[in-house]
Amino acid sequence: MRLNYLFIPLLAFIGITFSSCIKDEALNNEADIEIATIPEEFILSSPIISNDKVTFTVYKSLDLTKVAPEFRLTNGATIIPASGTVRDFSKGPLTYEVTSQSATFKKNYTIEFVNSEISTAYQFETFKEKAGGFYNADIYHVFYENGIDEDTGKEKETFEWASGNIGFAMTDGDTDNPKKPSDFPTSAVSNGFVGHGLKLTTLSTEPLGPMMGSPLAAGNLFLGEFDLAIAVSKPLKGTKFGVSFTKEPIMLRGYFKYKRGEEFQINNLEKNKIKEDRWDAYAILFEAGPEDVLYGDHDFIDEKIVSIARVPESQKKETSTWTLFEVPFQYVEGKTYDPKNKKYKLALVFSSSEEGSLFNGAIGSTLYIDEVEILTNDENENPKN
Amino acid sequence: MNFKYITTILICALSLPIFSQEIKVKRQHFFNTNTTVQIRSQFSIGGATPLGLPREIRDIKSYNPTLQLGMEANFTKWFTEEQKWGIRTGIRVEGKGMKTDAKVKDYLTQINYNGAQVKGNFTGNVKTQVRNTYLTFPILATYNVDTQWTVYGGIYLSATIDRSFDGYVYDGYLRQGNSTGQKLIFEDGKQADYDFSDEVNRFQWGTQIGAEWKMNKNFFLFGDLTYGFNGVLKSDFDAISFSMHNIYLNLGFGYQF
Repeated sequence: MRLNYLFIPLLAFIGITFSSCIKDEALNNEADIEIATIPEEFILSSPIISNDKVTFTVYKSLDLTKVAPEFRLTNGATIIPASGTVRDFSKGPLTYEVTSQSATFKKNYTIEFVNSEISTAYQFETFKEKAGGFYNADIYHVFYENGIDEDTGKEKETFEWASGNIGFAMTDGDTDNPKKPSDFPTSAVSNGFVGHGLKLTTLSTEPLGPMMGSPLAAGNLFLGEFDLAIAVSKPLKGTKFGVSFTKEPIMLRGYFKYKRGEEFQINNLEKNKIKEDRWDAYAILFEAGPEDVLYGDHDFIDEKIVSIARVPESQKKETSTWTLFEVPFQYVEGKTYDPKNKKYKLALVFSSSEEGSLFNGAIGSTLYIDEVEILTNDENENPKN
Repeated sequence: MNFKYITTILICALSLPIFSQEIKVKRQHFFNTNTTVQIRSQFSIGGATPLGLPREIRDIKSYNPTLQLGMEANFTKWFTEEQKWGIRTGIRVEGKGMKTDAKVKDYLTQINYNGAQVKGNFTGNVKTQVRNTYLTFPILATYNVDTQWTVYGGIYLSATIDRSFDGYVYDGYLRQGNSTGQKLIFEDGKQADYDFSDEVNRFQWGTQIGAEWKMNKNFFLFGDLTYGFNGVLKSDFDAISFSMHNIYLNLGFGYQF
């Protein structure tokens, strides 16, 4: 049929247009440190790598005056000083510059080494303001702890507390009305039990959060890491509990005030166990190699867990005056503290809604916490330290 | 729906010449001497496509032209008794659309994340669905090759009466701001929508060439190509780093009075 004369060239033309070949891949524009390493024997806890910072938690046996961290970068990227360069980290964090394969983008990383033992008393006096959210316009608090540097005798930051604030900053993007620290679920207040204190509030993520499957955000603070990149798709896997701990904890204590929010919302009925909102604080000692953590969905069931101190239901009451809570660590059956053969991490978690990780809670539930301490058994120090 | 109204108006308009024929006015004037009136219906295969795929697009995993229909009424004035050369204009209501699933690397886009419009560079998979309806005025030169074949070509002007250009990103990650920004990983069914419907150009113009083949005195088949000179999306919209053009193959049949 003569129609073919018309059709074939037309189809050929369309074919050429749409199959116009996939071009060669462009050079990478990313400039990430993907993996950071030092000799394994010095590593206490796997380095935490964020978008512009790498934190190594190391044994005191590592001589910080000459460390040669090695880096694996985005394919094709380069780093200055070069991977493996010996540098003196004893005076504090140092900067590295990563340049993308395309040479178009550069990113500065701060590399820090933490070798001081984690403190066991937390006054919540030290915090800083950080900008976050999509427009970097939302300001939230980040608590950190100081310790005395044994070499210099000066006070220096030993670690930052983790919280979901950085994720909460992503729940809306109103440039005209940026969020203040007090608008966040986790913040510092000036009227603590002594000095400043910690305030945790269960907040609504409306109007936009519910559509994304996270209708509320409980205030939380914990020892560990909140990994925003992962938390986007899997909030509980982005919540990583635990920092290395070298003592035998025997008691968790501190002071609290609590006011329950009005209406208890149950968004996850399947796993719901409680009828009204209540606060939560717990500490878990668990066996852990450098890479092991407890994820947000641990539910107190994990074979790594050695002992647990959790504020019992009877103490999770409403009170407007500072009230002491004191909870002993209880060993999981069959587990003992064995510092000669095992390494441990400690998870310490505070939340304004016990089932906050299930998105069950009452908007407005407010927990104040201050002067927290982990009492340890000094006779059982970890000789490896 | 816009489309229905316009179709109705079009059909009414088309029925006018039929009535006028019945009246059998024999007076000859410009509009009934050496003229042809056609109605045509078509379906379109094509897409809003960059001219040469940009490097950000690593793979087109699927492409679906979707069912895009159109209707046209046109009027041709032939210059001579032999009806060799003529000029044609008309009105056409047409859909132009497609669905694609592409793999991209470092692709500048703007997504809706928890209500915030986030610009960034996405590496992963992008699904796109385009459904635009245009009201188009072709201005074409026509040439009768022989008694069966007619070829035509010229330009068209289009007004966009219904705009939709949206989709979502999945299985990948966004770097907030630029390629070195905070990484946000989308996986396990987590996706982020984008909607550029408001950024679709209200006006389109381009070129059209094609041919008709007469089956008998009244019925004919046709095929033509349209290519949009200006981008589908507004030129000041910078959340996609390359310009996309409407390129469509239209196939259909018509009736000539």
